[in-house]
Amino acid sequence: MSDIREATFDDYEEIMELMQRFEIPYKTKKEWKGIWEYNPMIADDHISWTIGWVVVNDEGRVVGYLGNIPLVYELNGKRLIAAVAHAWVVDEEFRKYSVLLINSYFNQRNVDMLLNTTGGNSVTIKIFSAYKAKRAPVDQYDVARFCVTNYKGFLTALLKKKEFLCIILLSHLYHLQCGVLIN
Amino acid sequence: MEKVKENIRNRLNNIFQDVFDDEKIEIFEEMTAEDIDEWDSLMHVTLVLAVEKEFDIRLNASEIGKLQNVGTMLILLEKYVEKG
Repeated sequence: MSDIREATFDDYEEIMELMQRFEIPYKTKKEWKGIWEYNPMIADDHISWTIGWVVVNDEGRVVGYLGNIPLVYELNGKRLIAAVAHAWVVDEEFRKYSVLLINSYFNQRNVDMLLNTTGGNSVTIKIFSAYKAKRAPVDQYDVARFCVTNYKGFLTALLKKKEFLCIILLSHLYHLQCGVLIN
Repeated sequence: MEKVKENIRNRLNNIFQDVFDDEKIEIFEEMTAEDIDEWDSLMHVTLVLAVEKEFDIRLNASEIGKLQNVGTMLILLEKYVEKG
């Protein structure tokens, strides 16, 4: 019988296998663990945090996953803890258990708000609305907006995403040349 | 008891009509996802959440695993309503 439990770092391999089956970007174990281990909220405050939940089949193998990432915000001087949903993925055969993952996410305690930054389609909006989630007051959900503070880093990340590696090299060279000129 | 069953059936039928946005839907015991084009995994989540909300219940893994069709859903709901 399938069941749900809290995820642990030991689930890494099976979670990544699952994510790769659905072409969700792969993370090394260091990167994945780092989401929580190097998270300032956990590292500085030493709070206990559920990193996510997994659905396991009757052999105990991971067939579903939902990550749970902590973020800290501040409003009017008050510190607010947000839980951000990450990588909701379930093998097709076990999709009916998806609801257990989302229930666990919405029913977690000790958080001030729940954030979903990627659920833009009409069905996920319906699901989140069922939990009385409110939509952020923006006109468009399918357009990403960036507030760039680190231009070079942003450009590099963007080009990397677009796989223009040679252009990255060129941008570095250009940057070096600019530096020389300024000096 | 028949009235209770009928009431549960009506409430479930309303949920189906609402979730799938189709007032013509009439549920039947053997009904499965095969019978409604839009009934995919995400809609199934929406459906289960709507059922949980309407009947003020929380289904566990075992109960979700046993949901094979509308008939099994009705039986499960009848048990919950009986328990009060």
